[in-house]
Amino acid sequence: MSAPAVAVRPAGPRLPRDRGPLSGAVLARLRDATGPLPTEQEAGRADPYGPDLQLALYVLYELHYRGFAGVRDDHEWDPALLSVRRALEQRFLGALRTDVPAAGAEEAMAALLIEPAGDDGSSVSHYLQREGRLWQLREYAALRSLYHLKEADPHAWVLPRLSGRAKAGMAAIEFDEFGAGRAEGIHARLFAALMTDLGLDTTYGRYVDPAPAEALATVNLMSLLGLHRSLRGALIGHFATVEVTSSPGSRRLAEAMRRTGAGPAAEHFYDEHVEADAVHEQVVRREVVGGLLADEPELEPDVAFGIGATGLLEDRLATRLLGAWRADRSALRSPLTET
Amino acid sequence: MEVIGADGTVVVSRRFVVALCTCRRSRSYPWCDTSHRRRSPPGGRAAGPARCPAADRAPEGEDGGAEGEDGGAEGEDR
Repeated sequence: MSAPAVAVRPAGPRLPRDRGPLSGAVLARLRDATGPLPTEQEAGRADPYGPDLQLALYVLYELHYRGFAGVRDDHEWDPALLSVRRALEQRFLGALRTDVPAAGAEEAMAALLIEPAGDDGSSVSHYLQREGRLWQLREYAALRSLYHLKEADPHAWVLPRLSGRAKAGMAAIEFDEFGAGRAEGIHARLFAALMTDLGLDTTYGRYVDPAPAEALATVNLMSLLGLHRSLRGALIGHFATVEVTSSPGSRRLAEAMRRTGAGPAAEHFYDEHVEADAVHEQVVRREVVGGLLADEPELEPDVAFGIGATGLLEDRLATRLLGAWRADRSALRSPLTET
Repeated sequence: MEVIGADGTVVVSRRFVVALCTCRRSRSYPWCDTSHRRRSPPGGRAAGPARCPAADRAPEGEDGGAEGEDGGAEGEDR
């Protein structure tokens, strides 16, 4: 492409390091190298949950959010890159469609509303509440920063695709996520303050390199569902899962922050989510999911798929985190430096 | 929205909707913190549909009714 005066971001997130041939070729193209991009066949052979595919997808999705320093802004709509993105998405989505068990939306939603009376050993928030150490909370925050520094952004893409009660409810929740008219209340900003308490770097994109594929996949799911109108039902199912499960999990994480003396902003982020998401849960179930399925009942399997896919990828991440932490190892690809 | 407690204390929320605790188990009373939720037997879990029995149901007795300023008012589950 040779359009004149194309904007190149002078500053912004740095491109991450590649994790294999797919991500390597995509990153090279973003640096305006002329090497070949991955073919559909190559994308189709890749491990759908593996680091190479997940990073390639992550980088392509970031073009729709903030872009990268030194990368042309109009790469967002480069047909060759979009074609690669589509092949990677089909591989990822195909795996999820195979691996997520079929369920009804009502059944899937009801399951989310039951709290385990005891901890069966697979819950990250239970683990951190009970025995999490400060270095583990730092790792957790670093990983979650990939989403929380753009909290609620992927879900905003669904708004033009909704109408009536679903649209009004979704917009109201998003308004809350974005600070209800006050910049200091934007949840992404509250999370940055938490990171500061934990001695982490709040620069957007700073912790992509240390993030394992399991963490990238949870964020890629949101971008995938947010960017495709055809997946709006699944996006709503995903969003409902996040909102419904957030309150009790946030309560446990707030207690973990208090117990380890992480700091007031670290406690506040999760305390705020206990209360806010108890409200969001009601609105998302009654108005957003209820309204969407009243308008478009045929989307019910998609809502259930969004719920199931979120659970599947969160479980994979939990397995990775707890496996490492219980062995007293870093769950990151490279440990954080001490502050 | 202002909530006046039995002892006359006033708490204020600026949210677009508030969820009021009616089960008295909230640790953020008068606001709901989802402590009303039904609990699975030990060893059960709530993460996804795959492992959750279909017979499980939402904790509220009535569902989908209340709207507006007190749209989130919680029902007791036991």
